[in-house]
Amino acid sequence: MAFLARKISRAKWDPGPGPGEIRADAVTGDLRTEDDDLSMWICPQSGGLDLPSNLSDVVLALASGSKRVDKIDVAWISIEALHAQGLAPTPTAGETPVASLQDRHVDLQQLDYERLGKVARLLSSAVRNNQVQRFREKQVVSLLVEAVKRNALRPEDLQPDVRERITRNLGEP
Amino acid sequence: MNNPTESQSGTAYTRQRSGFSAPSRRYVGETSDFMIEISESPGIAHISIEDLALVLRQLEANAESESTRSSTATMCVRRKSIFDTIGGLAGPPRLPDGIEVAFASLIRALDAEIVEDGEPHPVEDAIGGFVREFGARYLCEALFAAAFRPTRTASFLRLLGRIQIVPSRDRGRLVERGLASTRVEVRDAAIQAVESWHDPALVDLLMSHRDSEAWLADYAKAVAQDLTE
Repeated sequence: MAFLARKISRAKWDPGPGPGEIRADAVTGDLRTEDDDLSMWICPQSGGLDLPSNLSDVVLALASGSKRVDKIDVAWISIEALHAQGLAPTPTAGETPVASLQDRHVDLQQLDYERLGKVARLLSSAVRNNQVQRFREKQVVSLLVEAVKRNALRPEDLQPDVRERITRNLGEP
Repeated sequence: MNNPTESQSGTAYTRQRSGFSAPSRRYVGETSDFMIEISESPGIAHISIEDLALVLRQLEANAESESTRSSTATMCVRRKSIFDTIGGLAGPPRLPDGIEVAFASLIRALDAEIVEDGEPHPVEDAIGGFVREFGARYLCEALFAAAFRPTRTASFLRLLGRIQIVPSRDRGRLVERGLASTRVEVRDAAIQAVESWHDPALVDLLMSHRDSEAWLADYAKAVAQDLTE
């Protein structure tokens, strides 16, 4: 089993006023599609556990393509749960300067109102079940610095503000 | 009244006019014997000697009826009452010219695009300009007004966290009020602002915060630890 992860803003997924309600801000803010496609990242299962492994790779992929270093919330859902809703991910190249992670990207393609709603329900359920993890700014910096140190990421491929921040931290123990 | 002493409370202080260092253009006229600075918001108000005498006579009468209080306690109560009453007589302080228009402009620009982690927002520079021109004190009130949308408050707090020129005292006020919000989004944004400012002076606020949401309580604690390492 594998999982699909996506960056969200956790506070937006705070339960709505009624049971099972999903705030519109969560959908319009965190499930923005491009050409009806929704970007997600693959995480393998962690051993026999019902948990994703290497979630930090997803954060690295996201943060290395960002223009600022901020905290990142990542939520995950199982691919089986997606299949059960009639949704299938399509592998596409991820937009990240970390070359080794580019093939870990998928799109949920040709989404319409109904199918996007199904994704929203799955993500909402995931957040309620604590299938979400926050990486603080300091942790994000640390992931980027480590990636540079092991040559998985070149500083020159980072956006200027991120590069400046990482370069500053590279010299620190 | 012939020998008024400078005194302070949590809300206001008065000074004999000759001892006040504010620009003289603030005076309304020669009949004004006192100027009042309301410290919770910008501006200086005035009270006539007649009104002040009326307030003091009334408070004197009230104090005499409360003989069980110690003299210190009585003085504190009277002093607070004076300032409360003066504040009521003076009304709200005058806002700097153009501040409301500038704030409305910020809101329009903020609403045009969502605030996203990892991405700059087009209104960031304008907020920085606003703080440079007017300070952040106005925002400490405006962002938490009852009619102001909490989602906007959260967005403002997240963006203010990206602006290092926000004065330390105002950072504390913004975070304190944000943490007191009933909305998770606002509390989360207040903690993120501290994280973005990298301001160790705000650690105590986070450490003393008790949040009903476990994940948010963990976040506050972790950010506080990050800032003290």
